[in-house]
Amino acid sequence: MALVDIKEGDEVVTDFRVTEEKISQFAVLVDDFAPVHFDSEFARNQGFDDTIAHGLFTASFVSGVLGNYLPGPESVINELNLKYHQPVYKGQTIQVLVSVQRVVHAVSAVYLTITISEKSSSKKVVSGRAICSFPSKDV
Amino acid sequence: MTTIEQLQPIFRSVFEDDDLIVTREMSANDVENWDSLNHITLIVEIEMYTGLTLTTEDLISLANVGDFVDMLESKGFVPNGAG
Repeated sequence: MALVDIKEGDEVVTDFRVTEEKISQFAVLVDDFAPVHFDSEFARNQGFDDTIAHGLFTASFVSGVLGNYLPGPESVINELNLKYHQPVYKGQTIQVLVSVQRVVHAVSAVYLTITISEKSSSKKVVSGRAICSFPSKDV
Repeated sequence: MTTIEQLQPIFRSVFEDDDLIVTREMSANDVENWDSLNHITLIVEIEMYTGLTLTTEDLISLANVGDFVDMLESKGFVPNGAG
């Protein structure tokens, strides 16, 4: 998708299943084995229902949506701001919604809002915004 | 409040400098973090704030913040308390 194809109000929604295997793979990838992600008793003592997914694991699904769909493969992330609202547990399905708020043609960039929800309850778990731009070798 | 005073929080946020004093004479050469990526972020944030739609032509001949502010006001931006 090129910048000229994007308009305000465009949206993409994608579901991701959070599994124990994916959480373990993420832990290996980033070397984060904090007990709140793997030790149920520890997590309960911290007030959670069970072990929770890494915050950056949950946020990482935004990368795929931005890079694959909206704004798409021709864009890169300039800025990403996220706020966490609820923990995410293994077995849950999260839904990533990316919406275009503004297309700034003067600098070939797009301002987007991001909402990640737990699908079965529709509870918002992460919200934020991103600025993505379209690099050009001509600039 | 002048346009520069109104936009100063955006400049401070984008360039991560809480003490930055924005002046008409200031240009990218005067701000350590004013690189190409932050320039894009600055323009996006200012479009979001002012509601104006800027074009490449609007930006191409600007030499400093003063030129930028004059351009915004010529496109209809009215600072708070100025009318």
